[in-house]
Amino acid sequence: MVSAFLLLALAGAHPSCTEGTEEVPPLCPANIPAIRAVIVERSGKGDHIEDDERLDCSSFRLSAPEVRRYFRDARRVNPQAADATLDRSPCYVAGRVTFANGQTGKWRIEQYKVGRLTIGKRSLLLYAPDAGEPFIG
Amino acid sequence: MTIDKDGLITSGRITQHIVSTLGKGPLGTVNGIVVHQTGGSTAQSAFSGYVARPYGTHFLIDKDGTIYQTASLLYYTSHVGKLRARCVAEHRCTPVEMKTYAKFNPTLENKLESAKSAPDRYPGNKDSIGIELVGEVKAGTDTYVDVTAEQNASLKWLVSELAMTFHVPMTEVFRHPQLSRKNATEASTATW
Repeated sequence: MVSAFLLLALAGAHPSCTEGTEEVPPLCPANIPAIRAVIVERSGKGDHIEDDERLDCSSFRLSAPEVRRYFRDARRVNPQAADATLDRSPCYVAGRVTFANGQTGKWRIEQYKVGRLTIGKRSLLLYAPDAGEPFIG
Repeated sequence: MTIDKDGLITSGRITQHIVSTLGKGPLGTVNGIVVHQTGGSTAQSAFSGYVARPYGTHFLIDKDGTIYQTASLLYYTSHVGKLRARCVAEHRCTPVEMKTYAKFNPTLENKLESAKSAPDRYPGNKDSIGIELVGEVKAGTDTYVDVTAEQNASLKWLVSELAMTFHVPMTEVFRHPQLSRKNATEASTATW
């Protein structure tokens, strides 16, 4: 059985990434393994204090099906390229995932469509450009 | 500080490590300086990243304070991202702007801000110089490591020299999360 860990490692070498622009980093296939279960542990949370009265982290909530949809649509992005292009939000939803092969992972999805999937010590930065509400951006 | 015809600085304090693909197009009037942290723990990982994907800054300061010039000052680089509304941050929006920006829409905000002239907006890719400090996010957290004393000493010198050379007021030197929506801890311990 091919492990989720190995699949994530292979994803780093995939040749079919988009070129990237000044506003969107190169998007690569995420190759996230089949998911058996998603658990949402934290919803509507805020990480860093922002001096922006318009920000309301409590309104950002995702259901387990919405998280599955996010992982289905998300593309892998390079952290350095993401830092030069994508917005990061202090508002996030987080939880755990169990893959079809029994492996487990942690995830965190931000309001501006950036997410992180961690399996063991490996971490995958994700971006789902077409994600709709309640995402922003 | 002397800059040659190729946009390279001649100084005993700066080591040249130019990655030509970082330069995107002609750098206009320099309206600001933006300070970043790389997210990686070594200069080598940043150099490798620049080669693999052309996103980065004009300068990189290693943890020991070594300053590398990584892009020519004739060109702008891609390092800022979408701009925040400066008038919102500085509480000086016009009534029309307040109405426009009342509904939170970062993409629209960036589009409208980009159409303004500095200093009514924050500096963006095309009119700023970028400086990256080598520094990773602490394991198991979303917090960047502290900038080292050696990095801050080099940063202070570099910012001072660049500000003087390009006539950039010190009020126009920013940490990356000030002008674009990023991890708020990026470069939060940088001083200049």
